[in-house]
Amino acid sequence: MVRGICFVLAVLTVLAALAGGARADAVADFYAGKQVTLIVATPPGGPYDLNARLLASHLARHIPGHPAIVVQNMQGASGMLAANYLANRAPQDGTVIANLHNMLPLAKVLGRLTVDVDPAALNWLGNMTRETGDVVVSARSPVKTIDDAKRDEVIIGAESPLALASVYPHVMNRVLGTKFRVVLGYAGFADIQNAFERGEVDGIAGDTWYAGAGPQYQWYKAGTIRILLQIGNKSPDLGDLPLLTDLASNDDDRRLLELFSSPYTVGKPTAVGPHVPPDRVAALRQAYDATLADPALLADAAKLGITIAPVSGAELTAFIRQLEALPEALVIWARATIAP
Amino acid sequence: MDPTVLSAAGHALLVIVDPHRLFYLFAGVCMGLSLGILPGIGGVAGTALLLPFTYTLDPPTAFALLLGLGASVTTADPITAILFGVPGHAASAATTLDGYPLTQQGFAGRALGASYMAALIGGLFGAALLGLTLPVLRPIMLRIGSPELLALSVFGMSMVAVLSGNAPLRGLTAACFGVMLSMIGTDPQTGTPRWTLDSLYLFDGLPLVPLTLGIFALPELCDLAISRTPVVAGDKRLDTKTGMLLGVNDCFTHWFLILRCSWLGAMLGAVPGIGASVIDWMSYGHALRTEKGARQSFGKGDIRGVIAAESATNAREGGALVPTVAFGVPASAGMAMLLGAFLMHGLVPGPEMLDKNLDVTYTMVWSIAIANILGSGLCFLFSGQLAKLATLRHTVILPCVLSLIFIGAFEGTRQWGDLYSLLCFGVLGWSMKQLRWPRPPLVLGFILGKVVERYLFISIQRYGSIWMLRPGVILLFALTLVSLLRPMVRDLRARGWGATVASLGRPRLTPRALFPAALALLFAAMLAQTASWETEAKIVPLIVGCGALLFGLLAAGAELWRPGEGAPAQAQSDTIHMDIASRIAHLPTATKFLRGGTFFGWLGAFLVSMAAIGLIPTVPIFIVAYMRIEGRERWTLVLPFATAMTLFIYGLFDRILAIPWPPSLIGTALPLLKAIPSV
Repeated sequence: MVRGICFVLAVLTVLAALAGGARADAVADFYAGKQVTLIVATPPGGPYDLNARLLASHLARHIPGHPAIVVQNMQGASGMLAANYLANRAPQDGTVIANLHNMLPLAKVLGRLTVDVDPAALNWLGNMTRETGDVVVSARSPVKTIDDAKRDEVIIGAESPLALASVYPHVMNRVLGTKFRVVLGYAGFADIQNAFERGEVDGIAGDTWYAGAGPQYQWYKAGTIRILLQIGNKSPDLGDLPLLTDLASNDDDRRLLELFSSPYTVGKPTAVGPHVPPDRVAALRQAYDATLADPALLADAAKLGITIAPVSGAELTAFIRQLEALPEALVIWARATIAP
Repeated sequence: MDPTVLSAAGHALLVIVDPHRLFYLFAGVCMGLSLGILPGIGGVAGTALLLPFTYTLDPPTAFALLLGLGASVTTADPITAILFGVPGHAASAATTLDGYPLTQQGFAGRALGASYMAALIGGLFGAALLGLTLPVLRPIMLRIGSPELLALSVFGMSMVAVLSGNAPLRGLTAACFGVMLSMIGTDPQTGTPRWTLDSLYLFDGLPLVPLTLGIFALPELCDLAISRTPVVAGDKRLDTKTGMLLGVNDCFTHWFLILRCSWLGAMLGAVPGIGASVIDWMSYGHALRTEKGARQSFGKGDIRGVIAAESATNAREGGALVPTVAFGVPASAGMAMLLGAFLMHGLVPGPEMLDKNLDVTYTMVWSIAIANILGSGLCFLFSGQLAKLATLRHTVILPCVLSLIFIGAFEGTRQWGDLYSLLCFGVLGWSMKQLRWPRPPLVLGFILGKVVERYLFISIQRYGSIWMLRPGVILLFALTLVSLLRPMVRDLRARGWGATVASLGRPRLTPRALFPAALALLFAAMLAQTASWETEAKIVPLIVGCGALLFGLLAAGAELWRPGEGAPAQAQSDTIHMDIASRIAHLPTATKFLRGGTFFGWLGAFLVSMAAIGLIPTVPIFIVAYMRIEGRERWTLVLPFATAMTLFIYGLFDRILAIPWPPSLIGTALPLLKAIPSV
């Protein structure tokens, strides 16, 4: 009899252990043998694409069940196409991950999202890198500091009114009283840089500063450009150059400048859909953090000239929520600032 | 030449002839040729596929692979253009104009031979020009500002005059319509969504690929379906053996034409925004204007038309490398991806590429040159037999080519909108062809319209009205004026002044008048929409739209009051009809419309089925249904054919190119079925 009870208890224990194990491995079971798609909101070849492919080549090792990861470019409508797909069309089972545009939360606040996507509602896995934006002028220009720009006109090239290249000059003119003049219509940053080289525009605003790489870095080293200020996060190699938000003279101005600096903290962000099961989101966030600390990824990043300075999913979500909680009056002011 | 440049070029040659790199180059060429031969599939898909693999390679090998692909796509492009009148890609639309008639006359081999040889010489010329001028190009290019680019684009637009052939009014209407189509999307000045119909698909503008496939490819296929005969009638002999050599010979006879067109192609290729799909037409227009007797024979199977178009498009690749390497400004979509490879290898486009990394740059020049030799060589070796495809029945050719065209159009932006655009422009293109409206001006307007608006705003904002006084601008505007006025003056001289007014007939309402009237209605509706836009957003669309409306109404009027059939055709001998002669002119109108309607019905059915059960399952059903119903083909032919085609499409597009198929209804309803590809 006692032996019988012991046997039943033993069987129950084993069963319970098996069931518990199965619960813990539900995520692994789900992902095992599956294919996960990593959507990139830009065409192949650019910095976003490069970051996404770097992530894709290491992420699978850290996701329980080790799914296969395939990168798919879904460019269009300034990243809104991909965001809309992730939020409203893609399966919400955690098999679709997306590297989205850094402008997404800002565009939402400015009322420029024409798709039904709430960035704060997405499940963010994190951001691969805190970036630094900048405003540069040609060494030919008499403008040497941001204070000089309040006195002399500086022509800045930009693609369209909502492009960062056009947003920053307008914001600075409103808040700091500078005299930037924006020429609109260029086809992209490469086109603006080309116009800058031939002297058609005097300055470039809102480009990303890549320490140690890129044309801007070379021009900086050669002394053909001056950097007036940094935006978003300070870059270690730019020393004590002022940050845009440092120039605010009151609290409201500072909040406004913080809002407009947000794309550099949003950086190269990764998210999954708003209705993905929480256990999978948690597992993916853990995998994301582990991937970005993986020495193999860091070695590859160094080879590609990519700086990894991650922001966790929780931190990024809090940051985006805080942006969307901006007081109504400031939002109206922000929208007016960039109105053409 | 500077000895350091020579040594860099020499060193680069040694680097590239390393067997390992030559192998990668060869692999790129093979892939480029196989993608190029498929109608509608261009090099961009292939480059995107290869890009991630290149980052473990060293820079010269990576560029050898990518450029091998990019440079050879255009070599294989004209094959379907010549055999079926279906441009393999946007770049070979002009080739169809003379290549396809040559095939119909039984000279497919000659046309193919000439196109490969022209492509080879053009490609080598482009590479040579690039290699020789690279060290001095940057300072010259830095002097070309937005106003000069504006003037150059306007000059390109003036080609509408010659590309309209003998129908200037219709040409102008089509060109204005093209410009209006190019304005679709968010406007760069104010961010106003223009004519986007509230869809995300049109947010960035109408993509080029479905538009060109609809305008140029579908009408030829529709005519093939209507005529119900093979491209080459069975009793006619094909020149597969002797023709190739004849074509090569033609190239040597017309070496000066090749030189001029290559020069044009390489120069225009260097200008961002002017893509291959304009370059072939500009080169064709140039040949049409300068070659002796071209006005009588072009469009009827003149080998010079093929040579002009093909040499220019292959010379372009060399030119396109210039802004990419020297400034990091990509001149084409393929080049934009090449920049991605730069990024991966820590190379910065700009002065460094012409100085410290000059040898890397020269390996690219050599890659393009060698890729052209390999590409043309392979085509010569293997494609002679391909010409025989033109003798196949339409029920075998059509389902196969149509399936590929659907996928090609979908590659535009990978959205459903691509397929709707394909169908809409297919109907438009077919109507234009039947009613003898020139189609090239529409494409010219579509590509250059946006560029002109862009540079116009930049020039005015940056320079005020001073931009018009820049010497380069004055020179280019003078050239534009000459190119516009010369044909007009000659035309008037030939007809006698005022002859046009005298030849009005009694008003008659025909389909020919209904078409421009319908277009005019469309223009009016589009114009009405501009009312709510901001000034900067609507100024150009408003001007062009009014022009389109005016020309459209005039064209409708001209048709309405056209002299009857009995009136003498006036002054038509000296100017060409800018299109391939219709092969179905002998059929009664009712038959044409019935069969044409059936053709587009098949296309519609394909879309419905694709939405319901996904693209790949649709392919075999479509092929079987078409072959059985339209042609009553034997089951023993139909089944293996459909299976092979489906496996091919599955392997290439699903497995290798990993195209993200749109979700289908049945797949959404029954997720289990998603195991089937593309459901």
